[in-house]
Amino acid sequence: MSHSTKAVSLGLANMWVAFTAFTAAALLGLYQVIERIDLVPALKSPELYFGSVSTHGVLMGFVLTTFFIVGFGYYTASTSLKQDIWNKPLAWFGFWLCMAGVVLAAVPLLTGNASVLYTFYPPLMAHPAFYIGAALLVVGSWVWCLEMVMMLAVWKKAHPGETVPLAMYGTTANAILWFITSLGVASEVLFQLIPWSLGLIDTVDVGLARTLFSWTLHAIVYFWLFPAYIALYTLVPSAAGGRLFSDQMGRFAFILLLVFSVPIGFHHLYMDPFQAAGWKFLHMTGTFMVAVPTLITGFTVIASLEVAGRLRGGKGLFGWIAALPWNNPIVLAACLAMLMLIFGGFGGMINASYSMNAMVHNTQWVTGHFHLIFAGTTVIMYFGAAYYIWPKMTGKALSSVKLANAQLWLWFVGMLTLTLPWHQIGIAGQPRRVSSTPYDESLVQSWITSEMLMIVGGAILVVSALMLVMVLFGTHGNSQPVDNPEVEYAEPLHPVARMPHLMNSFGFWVGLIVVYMVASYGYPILQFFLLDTYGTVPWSI
Amino acid sequence: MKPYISVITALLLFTPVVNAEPSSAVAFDLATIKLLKSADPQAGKALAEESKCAKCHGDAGVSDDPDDINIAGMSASYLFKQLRDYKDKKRDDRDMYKNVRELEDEQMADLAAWFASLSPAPANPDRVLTDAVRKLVFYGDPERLLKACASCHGRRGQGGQFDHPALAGQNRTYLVDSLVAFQEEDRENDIYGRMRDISKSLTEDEIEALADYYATYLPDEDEDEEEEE
Amino acid sequence: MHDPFKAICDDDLERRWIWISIIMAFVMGGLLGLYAVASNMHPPSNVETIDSSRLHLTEEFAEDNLGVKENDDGSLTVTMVAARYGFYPSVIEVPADTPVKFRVASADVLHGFHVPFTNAATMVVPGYISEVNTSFPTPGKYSFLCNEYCGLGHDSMWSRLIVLPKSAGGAS
Repeated sequence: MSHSTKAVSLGLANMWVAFTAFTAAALLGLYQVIERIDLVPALKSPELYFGSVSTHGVLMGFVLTTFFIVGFGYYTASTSLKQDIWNKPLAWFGFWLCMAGVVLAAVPLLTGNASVLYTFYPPLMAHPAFYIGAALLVVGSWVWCLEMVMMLAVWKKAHPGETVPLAMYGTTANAILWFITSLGVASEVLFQLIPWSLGLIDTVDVGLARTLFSWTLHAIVYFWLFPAYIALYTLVPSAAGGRLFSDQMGRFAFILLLVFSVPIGFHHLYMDPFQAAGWKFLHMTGTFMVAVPTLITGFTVIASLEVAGRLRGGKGLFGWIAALPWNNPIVLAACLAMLMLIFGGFGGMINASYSMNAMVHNTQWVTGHFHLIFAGTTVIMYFGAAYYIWPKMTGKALSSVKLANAQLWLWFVGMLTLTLPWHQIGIAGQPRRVSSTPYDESLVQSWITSEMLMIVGGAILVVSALMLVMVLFGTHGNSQPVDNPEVEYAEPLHPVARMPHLMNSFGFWVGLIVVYMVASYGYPILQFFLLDTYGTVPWSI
Repeated sequence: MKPYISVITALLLFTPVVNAEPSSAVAFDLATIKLLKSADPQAGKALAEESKCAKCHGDAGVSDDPDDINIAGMSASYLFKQLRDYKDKKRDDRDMYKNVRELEDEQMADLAAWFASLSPAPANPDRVLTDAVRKLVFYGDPERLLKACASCHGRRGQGGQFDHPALAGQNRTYLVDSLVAFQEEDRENDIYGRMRDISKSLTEDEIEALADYYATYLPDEDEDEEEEE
Repeated sequence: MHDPFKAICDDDLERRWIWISIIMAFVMGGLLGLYAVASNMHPPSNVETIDSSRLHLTEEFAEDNLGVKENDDGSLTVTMVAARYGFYPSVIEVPADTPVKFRVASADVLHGFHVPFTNAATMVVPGYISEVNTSFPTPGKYSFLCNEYCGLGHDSMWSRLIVLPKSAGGAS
């Protein structure tokens, strides 16, 4: 494959933006765990704290993810299809549109004029530039969605009847997923928040805004998780020296994720008035269905690793685990990611529960949970994938495999040190998003030890974040060339003779999502136009 | 037996009162917000001269008499609400009632807009922030369910949205009198009793200390200090 | 029996695992759902609108009408307002083991409402009235904490709940 076919510069540009944002946000995170504890009065400042929390959320949740996924997607698409990027200038236009959005949103964020957190929270009103910047970022990412769909279409035309490579099938599923799920927040921003912040409309219906946001809020997590799953299915088995246990299981999991992750957003609204219990119950059932693809992934990935371990000479019930190449960064990342997924999945069950959620809703338990699942499982796979593809993109060997492995271990240890106590203070009642805790002495005392541990965790994570940048940056200047410049996508254990049409295309599934969405969001949105609702005027922070 | 009695007392206390009177007739709904937005400060200036506001509140909204309130630079929404409350007798003051009883809503909005546009009172540089005051202002006292002053009135005492007034640079005597008036329920136009609750938890010494702090407050100096931190 | 997954999966092990996953999801979701429905524990899902900007001028949420009221059946209704930065009235006393219905509305922005260690929780959304049904089995001193970011003073937003021993309480 010629070098120009691989989307190297698009991949690197996007992923460097992602990891730069990530490093800045990690530093803010450390400041936040220190500020929140009431031991250093000189550090106290809600203005700084909430500005920092808003920036941290936007950088981690929107910038790191979107840019990594887009960059990784371009690279995966070009290497798995062995095909040029469709309309390269458009792809670069999308990149610059996203960048313009980030810069536009950064100005009010950094000057404290958008401390409304990354989840927006109307009727708190930020500067219009913040909402416009967010909208540009989303629209820019739609360019990538179009690119992925078009690249698949071009490939299919040239390869009639052939099976789409699993990596591309997953990437396209994610592009479609993101387009559908981002329509919720896009409608909120375009039809409510932007005109409202510009003074074109007087009030905003907070119930409608929250309902629209919930449309995006859950599936966005799967948008973030998808590249991690793609790496687990298509890169990890071959890197471990084995094969993918089943190509079809991977497809099946991707399809389930695509279909079930959007119409279930109401588990973020369990505690909200304005939506009746029946709708919440319906969304709860879908929420449990979305656990199925994760369980399938767990099985397939572990089975694939077992195949690798045994091929490497591992014997006995557990001997294959020791035989795995633990010194290979992407394999190490995969193992650590799966471990954190087990802890995080348990917490997720409580959050998803229709009745138990009330005990933990909006407590620090929830922030602890999503840090474990997102910053743990998902982001550690971003690191693993970066360590795998960076040498192939730059043509140079990784600057230090040892440092990379140490970085991953530190991230794992730091993340557990941060998030396990975080869950504890949540159960002990600490609300999320507070910059100080001026409450009953008995409550505050029960939090102190955990809060101290969280500071240790935060410090470890910052060291790990800096090490990541060091390894990746150093790779560009490494004089030693890479051993193998080609991406080796895992071959399935059983070659697939003929892929059923449904598992090689998306038309049917998109139709199914539309029907499911109308059923689960149709009336809940329509009701705001049938009820006598009262809009809310803008509030400053 | 004791808890039993307090439950009954609580139930009695909160039994619905017939003809419950709201503490203020002003609501910051869309109509009020639009009224304030369309207010004309110049018309307010003319009206202020005609009504001789300067007699008590000074030529530029800053009073010579420490008993009177400095109104320069306060938010228009807060000033408007006070004027309406005087007119509706929600805030009891015979002099102010006489001054505003004839005024229409638009005129009060104009007056509010005029005084809001003026520069706040210059501050006394000899401000002292003791540890005790710092705790009350920025943290509160959880034991007494006492909230940080800064949570509503701002870190620089600059005030918050709608009916959370600025405190920085206010006259000391006026601040003490206001807190005592809330404490003794002589003043009840704070919606949902927010200041009545708080002032009842404050001691006399604390009221004096807080008045000292806010009355002699220097916003710019504090801003620099925060940046240094 | 014909296995519908045969069309997409050749491997017996894989198919077995797909079935196990689906059954696990159904059992977990089903148990939690059944438990909630059987014990009539639903999340707060009241659909009722109100003009939050004029809240203090409404009858139900007028200052003098807030607080604890005993209903004919011995249960209690507690009417509260969430407003920057507190819950009003700021002290609520209820007897233990007595059904309590909280009706809460916001006077300004989005707030959270939670009594730690209990399931008394709801979002308080401007424009809507929240309703929470619960009871408190253990007497003691509790706090209502706002658990949704509502502005720079959010940390300070909390108030007091006192649960009195039922044996001494009047409502039964």
